[in-house]
Amino acid sequence: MSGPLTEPMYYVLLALAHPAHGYALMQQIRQLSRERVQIGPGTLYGLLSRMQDDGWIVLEDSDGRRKTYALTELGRQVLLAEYERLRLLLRDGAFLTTEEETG
Amino acid sequence: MKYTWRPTPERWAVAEAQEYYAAMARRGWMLDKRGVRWDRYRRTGPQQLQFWLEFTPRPVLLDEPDDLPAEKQQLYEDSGWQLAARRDEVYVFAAPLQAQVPQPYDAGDPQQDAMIARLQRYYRRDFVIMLLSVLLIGGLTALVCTRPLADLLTGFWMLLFCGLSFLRAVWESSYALGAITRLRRRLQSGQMPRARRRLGYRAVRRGLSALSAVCLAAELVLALAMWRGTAPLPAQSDGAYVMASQALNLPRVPVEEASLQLRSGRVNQVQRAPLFPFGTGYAVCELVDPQTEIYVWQDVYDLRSPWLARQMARSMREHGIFAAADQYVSVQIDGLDAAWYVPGGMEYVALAGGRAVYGTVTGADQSGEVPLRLLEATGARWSGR
Repeated sequence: MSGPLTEPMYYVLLALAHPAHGYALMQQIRQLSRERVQIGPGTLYGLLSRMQDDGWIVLEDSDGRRKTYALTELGRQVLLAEYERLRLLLRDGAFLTTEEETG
Repeated sequence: MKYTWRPTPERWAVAEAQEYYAAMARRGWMLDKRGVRWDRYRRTGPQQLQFWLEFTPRPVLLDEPDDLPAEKQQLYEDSGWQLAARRDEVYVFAAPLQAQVPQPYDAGDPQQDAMIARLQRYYRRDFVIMLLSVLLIGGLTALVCTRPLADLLTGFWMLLFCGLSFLRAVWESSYALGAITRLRRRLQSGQMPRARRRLGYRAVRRGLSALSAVCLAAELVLALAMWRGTAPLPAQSDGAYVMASQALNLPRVPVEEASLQLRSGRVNQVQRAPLFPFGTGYAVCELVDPQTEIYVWQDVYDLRSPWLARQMARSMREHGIFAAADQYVSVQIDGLDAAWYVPGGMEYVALAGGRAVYGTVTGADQSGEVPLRLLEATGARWSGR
């Protein structure tokens, strides 16, 4: 893992907490992000290919033109590391909202 | 079903093509087939659509299919993008404009690797085209500079047409190199392709196309006129007619008028054949003297270029019917490039301006008396074999 994940990468790994195929992932990401993040098919295909090459995800099932992917142990570690990084970022910046609330 | 055809946008004009297809859909014409030069559109009624050009990844192996991965195509279709047309490495997807259809790529991520790889290939191709066109223009310029201007005057329009066509190729390919470089940089920095109007580029291209079309039309009109015999022809040496008229006291008959003489029965046969784009060929067979049955047969090649005419004359000298004869006599006659005599007939080559004439004179008198009499009347100088 060379650096922080991009937003689409993070959401793809997050959505793959449960194995899913491409289009299901797109819907899952929209749901998870409350319609805020919408990944296009071109971007998603590129991400899935790259993540598979890096060993973060693995092909679990292939139903014709639809392929189902699942997280690998490495992928899970990458996701957890990113989650931890984001959590620390939030913690460090939490005083901004508490200052606003106390006035 | 009604169809219409429009020129295919340049391969590197990705965003422009997307906008153009959308504009056509708004006007009621849906892209039906993407061609090499022309795209076919089907009449569907006005539609609000958006288009996206997806490029297939470059095959690594020679026998690898140049198709979009099936999974990727399925993703597009599941997302609401339907395949409208495909040509080689380009897939054109369409989706309703107002619907909640995700854009294929997210801005900010340099992920369009396939398109970038294809653009690199286009760049190499256009570079080679530009190089070849420049070389051809250089060759044409050298031709104009090294030959006397008079040699090329008659082929002027064809030459100009070729020059303008190559110039257009240089303009298109050099512009493409710049456009591809800009687009690649844009994609690599994570930005989406942006449509530009390119008014200057299109104006120059149209101008060059129009000029070359005018030149080609002028060339065709001139060729047609020469084929029909209405255009003025260069001066010529009608050696056979000169000889015949001197020897037999007959009026000299120019080749241009040979077809008119056909009606009077003096000319037995006249054939014309266009030698596009080099000029016109005539074959004239005339019975000069019915009593002695002297026939004059002439192949006239009006090549509209003295240089080409000289090449033709040289070829005729080398491959004439007497060239292989055991015994013939070379003779020198004013107005003829070369002449040979054998008992029973003679052969000659005349060259003037852009015209090469190959002719034979044959007589029924097997002793050769008639051709000899013709030769003596012209004051021919004998030089032996």
